[in-house]
Amino acid sequence: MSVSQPRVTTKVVVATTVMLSFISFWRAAAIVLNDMASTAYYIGGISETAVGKSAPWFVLAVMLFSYAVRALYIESCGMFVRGGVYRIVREALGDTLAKFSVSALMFDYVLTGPISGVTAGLYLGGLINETAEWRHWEGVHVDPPTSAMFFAVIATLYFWRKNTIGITESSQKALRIMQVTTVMVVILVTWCLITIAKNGYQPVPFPNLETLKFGDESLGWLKGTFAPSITFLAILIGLGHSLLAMSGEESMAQVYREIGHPKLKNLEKAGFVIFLYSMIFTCLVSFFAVMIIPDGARGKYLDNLIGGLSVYLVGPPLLKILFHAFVVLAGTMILSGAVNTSIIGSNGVLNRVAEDGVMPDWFRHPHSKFGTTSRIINLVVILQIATIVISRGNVYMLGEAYAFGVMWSFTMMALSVTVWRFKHPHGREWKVPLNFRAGGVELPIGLFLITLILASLATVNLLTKKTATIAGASFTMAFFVVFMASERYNRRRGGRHSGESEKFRIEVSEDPELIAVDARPGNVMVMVRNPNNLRHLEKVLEKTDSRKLDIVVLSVRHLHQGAGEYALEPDQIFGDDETLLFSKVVSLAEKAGKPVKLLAVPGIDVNLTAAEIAQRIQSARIVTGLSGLRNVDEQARMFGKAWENLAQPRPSLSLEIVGGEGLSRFYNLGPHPPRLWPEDVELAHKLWLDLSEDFGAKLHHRDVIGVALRRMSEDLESGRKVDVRNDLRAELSQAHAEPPMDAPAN
Amino acid sequence: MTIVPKSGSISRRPPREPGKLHVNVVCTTPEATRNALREAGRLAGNLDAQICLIAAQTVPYPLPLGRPDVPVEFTLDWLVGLAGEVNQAVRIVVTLCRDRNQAVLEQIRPGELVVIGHTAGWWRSDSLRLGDWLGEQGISVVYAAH
Repeated sequence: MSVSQPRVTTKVVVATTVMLSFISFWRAAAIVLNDMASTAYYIGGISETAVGKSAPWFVLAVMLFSYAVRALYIESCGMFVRGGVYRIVREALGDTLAKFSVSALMFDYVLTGPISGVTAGLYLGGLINETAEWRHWEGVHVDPPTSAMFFAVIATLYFWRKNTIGITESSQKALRIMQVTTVMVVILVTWCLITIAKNGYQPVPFPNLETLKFGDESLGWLKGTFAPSITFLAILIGLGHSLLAMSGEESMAQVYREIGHPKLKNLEKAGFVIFLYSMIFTCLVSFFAVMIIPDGARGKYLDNLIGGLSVYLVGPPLLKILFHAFVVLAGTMILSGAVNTSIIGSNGVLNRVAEDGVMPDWFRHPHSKFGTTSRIINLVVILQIATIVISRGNVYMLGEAYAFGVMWSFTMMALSVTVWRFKHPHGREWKVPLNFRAGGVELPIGLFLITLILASLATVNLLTKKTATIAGASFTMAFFVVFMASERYNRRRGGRHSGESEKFRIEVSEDPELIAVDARPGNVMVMVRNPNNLRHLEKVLEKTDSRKLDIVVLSVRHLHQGAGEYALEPDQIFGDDETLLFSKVVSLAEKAGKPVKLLAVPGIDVNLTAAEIAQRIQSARIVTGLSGLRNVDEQARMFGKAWENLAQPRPSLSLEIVGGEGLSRFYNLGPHPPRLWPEDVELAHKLWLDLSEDFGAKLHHRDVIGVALRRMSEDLESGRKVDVRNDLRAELSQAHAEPPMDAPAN
Repeated sequence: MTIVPKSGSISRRPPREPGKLHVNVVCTTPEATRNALREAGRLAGNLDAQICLIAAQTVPYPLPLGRPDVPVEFTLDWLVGLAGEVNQAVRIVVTLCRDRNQAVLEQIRPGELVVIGHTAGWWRSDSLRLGDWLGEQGISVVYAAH
């Protein structure tokens, strides 16, 4: 393209999506633990109410099993299916089961708020009564379940308001809350150990048919049958009542997109931290409660187990009350956070399914003043308050019901990941261990076992938890019917709903000199065009340390001659094709855990436009994929020609062309020292040796080559031009070995 | 994420005009932001500076970063209205983020001025805490109280 041709880079569009700021595995673990650790406040009591004094062993077993469930989530995250549980289950098991799964997840979310709010209220009530007793305040006594119910309603209303306005808190709070909770856990564990050392302890009986004491409501429809007398089934029942201990594990899927590079390794580390922390906290609370609180008194504290522990620790009463207050403070923070998360999570899930057309659009109407989807928030909060009032502050009842949602969400996820193994056996970055091959087919034994255990526990829970089964099934069915009806209605209306493309907002700059890509000089510019051919971008993401070098991804919309007569509208520059392309780009960047900067521009000559942009944003390297139309050298030559058309001063640029195998060839654009053939190096050296006899040490190889080049230039100007051309033709016809890919080419 | 509105009375200014001073206004509460914008308008008028209104919209973790609880278009509409009250060109930047402080800091360049509005009260407001934190990062902060 000649310089005089019209330039159409008059409008620059910066496609911007979210600011991909990746987090460390510590922060990721803190966010998940905010959900998981809250369980420690109530699971010990719920479990003991159901199965008796041997409950801590069941909690321990569930926490150990959570390590396997963690593996399940790591594999599902590694598949990188966008769109959460609904998308994963739909891809694996179909629409109907996906709707069932989301309905169960909604039940889980709706119950998370009430159980957390009520537990916080119970702890608060316990503290008030404890303080009143210690200070001998006559008449000061609260009924813990009633006060818990009121507290939970107030907390829910508070977060309803916050969510309606729009949450503004920084996520830094998750880390702070976990720091406070960790201090509390360290003090608690140390103090409990001192107490045990001083006062001794009560043994925690290992579960068997003699030690298992099923409560009145813990056998459900199995009461009076022979089933609980079979040890295996009795153990399953016990595990089913303790399964809540690992609720919150699913939050790992929420933070995966945000974890920094190396993503999967960091997710594994985060998973391990989560496992270790939650196991220590949850299990020790359950064990210490049985070991320290006398049997006769423990029943009083089953709703408020850590509070009860603080009462029976050794030490002065004032110190114990202060610690009790600290326990309540940490608990209120972490449990209130869970109330908030449940509203945000439900809102997010329902918004997501509404986007897929399985919720009436009416729900998504934004609040006129605050812009939030207040109708969804209202629906969730109404359901939560109704649940709190119906439960009348009974945390055991809430826990049993909550387990229904948690259990079925886990089971559906496990089933989906297992089915995915067969549907898409390749391209996984990580797999749940224990895979064997038989007859060319991989048998994911580990996955089978996890799914089998979860499905067995879910089935046992269905039979042993009457209220939970009736409430959970009714709720799930109600949501399921709404989803089905809405989808049918929306389909009949012919409504189109968005797929999994990113929502890009665009910043338009009319002035090509002022491109709003804030990339540091020396950045790597990656040219993209085909969403199915992004191997070169993957390679750049893999090899580039994004802390030192920025990665700019450029798409040039090719315009035909004359198209520059009228300026393009932003939507024409950034259309559906670019949305799809950049969605893939963002997905790859997230997968690699490295940020990228996006840029879309129109141009008649794609290479020239790219070179111009590279010049403006001071790129050091341009990376592109192998063209299907030209061979690699020809592709580089065309780019080199474009470089020659750049305005002075032309930058020093290197071009990397990446083939389908991920192998690269590198080219230096513009004037650069040539890479000589070995025989030419040999010849230059021989000439230098011969001539240095006459000229001495002053003569260098460069002088020999300089004279040779100048003589060639003179020959080209003179009548010997034809001879020079013939020599060159002969040179090119010599069979020099092609430089391999992954090597400099010139 | 940086966004410039496509319509409205706000000029689509590029990120930074070379050689021109920039006054950044950090979006907090509606009233405080209005105050801060007025103050920024006064300062920018005297200094022939450009005003940049920065709104860091925190997205809670249960939601994907690209899908905030309040749609960006809604935030923009509100900001456009707010910026329209100032008789100067205002560039609006909305950043979807997990950490507000970091997101605000990323939008400010060394040596630039930041105006933060705040409401006087019994408690140390969130705006003041943000301002103090920015100050610790070496940013010059002006408070616009009301």
